[in-house]
Amino acid sequence: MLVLFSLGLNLIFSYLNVLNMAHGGFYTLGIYLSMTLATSIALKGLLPIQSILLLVIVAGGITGLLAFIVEPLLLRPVYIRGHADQLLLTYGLLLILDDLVKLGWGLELHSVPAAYYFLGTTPILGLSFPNYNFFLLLMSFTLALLLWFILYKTMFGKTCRAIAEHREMVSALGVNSAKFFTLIFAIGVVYAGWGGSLMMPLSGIFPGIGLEPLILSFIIVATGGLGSLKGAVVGAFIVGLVRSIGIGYFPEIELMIVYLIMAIILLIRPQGLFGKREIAW
Amino acid sequence: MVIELRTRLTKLFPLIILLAILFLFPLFAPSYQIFLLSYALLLALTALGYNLLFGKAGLLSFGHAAYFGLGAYVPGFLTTYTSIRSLEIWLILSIAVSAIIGALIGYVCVKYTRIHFALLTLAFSMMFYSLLFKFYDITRGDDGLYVAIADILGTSFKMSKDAYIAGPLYYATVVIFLILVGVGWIIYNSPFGKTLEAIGNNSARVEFLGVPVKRYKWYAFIISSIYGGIAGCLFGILSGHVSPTALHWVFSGEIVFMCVLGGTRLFIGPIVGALLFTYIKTYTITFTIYWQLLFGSILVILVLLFPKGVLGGALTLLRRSRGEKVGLRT
Amino acid sequence: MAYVLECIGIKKYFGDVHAVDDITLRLKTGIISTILGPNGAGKTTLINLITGWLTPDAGKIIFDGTDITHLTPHDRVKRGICRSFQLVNLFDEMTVLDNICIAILTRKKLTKSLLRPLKHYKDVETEAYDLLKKLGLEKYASELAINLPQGSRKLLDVGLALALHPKLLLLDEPTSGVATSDKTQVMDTISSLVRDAKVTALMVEHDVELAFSYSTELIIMSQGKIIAQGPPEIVRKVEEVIRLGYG
Repeated sequence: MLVLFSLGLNLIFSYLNVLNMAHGGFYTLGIYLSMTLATSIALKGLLPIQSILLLVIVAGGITGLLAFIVEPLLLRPVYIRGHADQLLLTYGLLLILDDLVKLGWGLELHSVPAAYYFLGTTPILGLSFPNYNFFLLLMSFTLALLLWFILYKTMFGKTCRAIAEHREMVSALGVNSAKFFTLIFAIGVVYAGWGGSLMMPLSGIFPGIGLEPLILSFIIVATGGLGSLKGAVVGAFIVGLVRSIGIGYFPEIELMIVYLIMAIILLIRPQGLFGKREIAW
Repeated sequence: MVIELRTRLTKLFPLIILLAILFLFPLFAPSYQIFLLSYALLLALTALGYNLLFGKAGLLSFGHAAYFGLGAYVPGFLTTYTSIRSLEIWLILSIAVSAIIGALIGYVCVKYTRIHFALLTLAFSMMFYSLLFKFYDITRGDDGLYVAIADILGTSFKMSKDAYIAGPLYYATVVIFLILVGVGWIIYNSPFGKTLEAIGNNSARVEFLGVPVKRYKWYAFIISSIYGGIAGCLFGILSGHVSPTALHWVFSGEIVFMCVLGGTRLFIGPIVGALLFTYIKTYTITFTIYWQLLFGSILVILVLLFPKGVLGGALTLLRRSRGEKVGLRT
Repeated sequence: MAYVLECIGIKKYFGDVHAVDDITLRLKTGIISTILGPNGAGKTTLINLITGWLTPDAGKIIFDGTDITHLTPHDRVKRGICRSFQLVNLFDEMTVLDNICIAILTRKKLTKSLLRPLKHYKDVETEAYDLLKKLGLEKYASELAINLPQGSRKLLDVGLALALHPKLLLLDEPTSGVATSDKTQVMDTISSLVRDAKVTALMVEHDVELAFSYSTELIIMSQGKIIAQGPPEIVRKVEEVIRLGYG
């Protein structure tokens, strides 16, 4: 799930050169949307797997639609400005999204673990593993693959990569890069929403829930490498692994270890494990 | 001669009024306002020091909260574990702590370029945050540490917290604020400051002129850390309590925003930005629970409309109305 | 020292490309020497080798009697090798006066001065203003560098290098991007400044006529080698030079 979130973030950064603070907001939105859908669908008695898939798709879709409003209106003017301005803007957006969620759903903590238990558990080595975790893993993997496919195997993806590297040339060829930017932003944000909706059954649901994945994602993107999607995946695994080990053995400083590892990796290899060299900033 | 004096006075007049307001404030304002103003002034100091690094040298540090926070923890530790209550000693120790840690972290970070620099500073500041959070036995973690009323210039104050804040502490804050703003002004306009500005413009060319750019960035880092540390120390005393939140990256981000809000290219930009930020945030919070919506929208609008910050934008309008040409960022 | 700069047997390869192929070059003090040559001849590589931006694969560089082959660009600047840039490299968001002041401050080692305002150092600003007058740019003194016309920006770029009081000034295409009508004026200003300051200048140029008019000496390069070196009237008669089209 963190994988999806980070992929989206990395996508937006690599292609649009924008560090999207609001990514956390879209994640939160994804969670809330799927929560609402879940509670209303549950009443309709659809089969568990199908309802979950539906959930995810719809939540992602709505998030994506939002992107189509946000990007042209708010992001386009700041592409030419420095990263500081972009950070400021997306931070403002994050605040707005967070409060929109408050407006729509109130301030209380929710939780809908139903789907989590729906799928049952599988006993492995004497411990029962919730099947939902497998499902989560599978979905993350599939969606990551989907992204890879879109970017590397379709004409759309190839055009996007061309635009990212040679903006003027591509517009000289008659391509409307603005539309592509909107689409890329939408895809990136949809992945955040998907991350959120997939995590929904496992997570507490409250405004501001998106903040922790946001900061973790920055770490992932930094360690894995800015500009490298493969790096985002690897980074997510590393961080996830370190955190699990950390929580298991050194609960006090588990978070600090993650930061320490990030610092070490950045010191040795400033571009992250798989990142491109200097990204002009 | 007389005309010169008159023009000088006219220029200084608004400054004199401001100073008068500052010094006479406690006489007519309620204690909450005095608290708020003190808080805003301290944030202004932090932002001012930070802007030396950010606005002049062009280095976006995303971990500046660490120096503020560590500076705040000094009085916390000293109150809890010692009986030292002197403001002067607290300040000196805060300066020492923030300078040393700033020097260590800065030394490592300035070797890197912008976004890696930003992420590294973020990582380091969050490491300190986690450390303070998790070592409950020493730091009381999330509960934080209590900070006592400090003795100023050797005088002990046996009064209510409110009276202390509205009286001795306020004046100490104002005096320190003015001194540091003055020092900051001199540094900004010194050859060193100009060199930093050149580094922010075109560090490669500065390197070509023979200046060791990384070392100068390091100096700027240390100076800005010290400003943060001093502000943090006074903040600890003001609020009477310190917790790890003072080091959180969100706060680091807010410091950046204050600078950008006011305008990074002007000396008083960060000061104005910090004051605006504090007051707008405080009032939106009290106005509605959906303060983030309001605040976020204000932020978005300001960024879209005022690329050079509020002051920068005002200055541009002024210059344009006079028919002068304006640069892209200045 | 009769020669301010000696490059002996300099080679620089980028993979299979012999960017600079066994070049030996001696510059007499006080002359204006211009390197001409087609694109890819190795002119800019040579400049980068002299400034220390690139390290030669073989050969020695001797400046003012000292072997500087392995010195950093920093140290070379301190010893008096300064350059201007083909792609103008200024402090765009600072005033023209400030641009020059920075260079002077560096030269005078004043950049560390923290606690005195710049205004305290009156002689820095005066010197900067004088240089601007010589460059013909004094009317732009309070303008931001980014607002200047291209020809003036080029002059400012050269001014930055001159403000360092170099012994050897390397000029990388000082008139590129300048409107043709302004080129002569730019070259007039540069050459008179260089002569007044008794600085040795090594220029890379594309404009053959300008090169012929303003140089004491021409160096024609092609494919990493020096084809001819000498006073313009003599060089233009060399067969290979004529073949290359520089006759």
